[in-house]
Amino acid sequence: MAEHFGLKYLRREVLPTAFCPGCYNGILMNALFQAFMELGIEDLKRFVFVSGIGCSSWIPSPFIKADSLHTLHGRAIPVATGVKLANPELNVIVIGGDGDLASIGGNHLLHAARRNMDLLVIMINNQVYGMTRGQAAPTTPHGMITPTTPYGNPERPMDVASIIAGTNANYVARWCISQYIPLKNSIKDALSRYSRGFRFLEVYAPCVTYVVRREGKTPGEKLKELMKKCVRIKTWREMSPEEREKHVATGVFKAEDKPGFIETYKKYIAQALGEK
Amino acid sequence: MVRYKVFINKKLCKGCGICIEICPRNALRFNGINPETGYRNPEQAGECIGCRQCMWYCPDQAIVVVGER
Repeated sequence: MAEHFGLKYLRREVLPTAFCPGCYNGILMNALFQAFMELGIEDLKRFVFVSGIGCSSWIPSPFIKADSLHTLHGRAIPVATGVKLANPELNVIVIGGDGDLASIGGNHLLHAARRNMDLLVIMINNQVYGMTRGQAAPTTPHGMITPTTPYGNPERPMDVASIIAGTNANYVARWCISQYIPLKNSIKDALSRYSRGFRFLEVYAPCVTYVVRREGKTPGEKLKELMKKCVRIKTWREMSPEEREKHVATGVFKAEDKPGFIETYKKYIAQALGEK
Repeated sequence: MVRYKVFINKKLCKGCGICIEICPRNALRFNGINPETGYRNPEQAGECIGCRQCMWYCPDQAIVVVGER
């Protein structure tokens, strides 16, 4: 019998995954593995995965067949920075959720992007704190009912991809989980064409249990709805403000190929040694 | 002509139903409960056109679409 392309990158002894039935984290795993496969990466020996705490941080830690570090809540990026500086030959990928990278580790994310640290950061925006039963997070939409906002969320959500696009990051993109092919191509780009500097991917994937089920929808119905809800940035900019609230802008926000932190740092080391 | 077949790994499937709803040809349907896992498993019930959306959108890496001549 034929095998799924993702199984060669997974630890089979821990399968099936610990995610809820229908959890969109698995679709991101498919996109990641297909990107690896299309780039011709057979094993993940030159890769290190770093994650924090949260549902999406579970993706690399027990399941992907590569070295991984499961670190403190929100501190995945500082640890990944250390890994990259200790051995610049490694490809370091950080996978985390919005509660981990944007709220608790928000400052680390901002400053790693400002430094243009050579990391690929994939942030899964599930709109709530999924692991602790769906409390309101900084990315929760306005008016959403959660256990901590029983009359609707009074705050407005944070647009993480736009914030990171305002820093020195090299590559910033946001894709919805329903846009599988652009998401996969974006991961491929971030690993091949833009292989240096800070690369940030925001993946819009509502929590299946605490967002989708509360709306009374099945994961499949929500996926079909997301296909209509998520539009490209160009289309989104032409919309009226009321329309904009109902849609999600997706696409590549920024794509540059500036030298990353490691390259600049090595230049300074050479300069310092040469002057002695 | 290429004929496509959908294989479902019953050990990994969690019965979320994404594949059944995403299929453009309604070629999949639920087929009883798997006593080993306790989840409903889908099976192929119609003609598959090989778009592979079920394979990509399966969160549990449980579906493989194979083309045969």
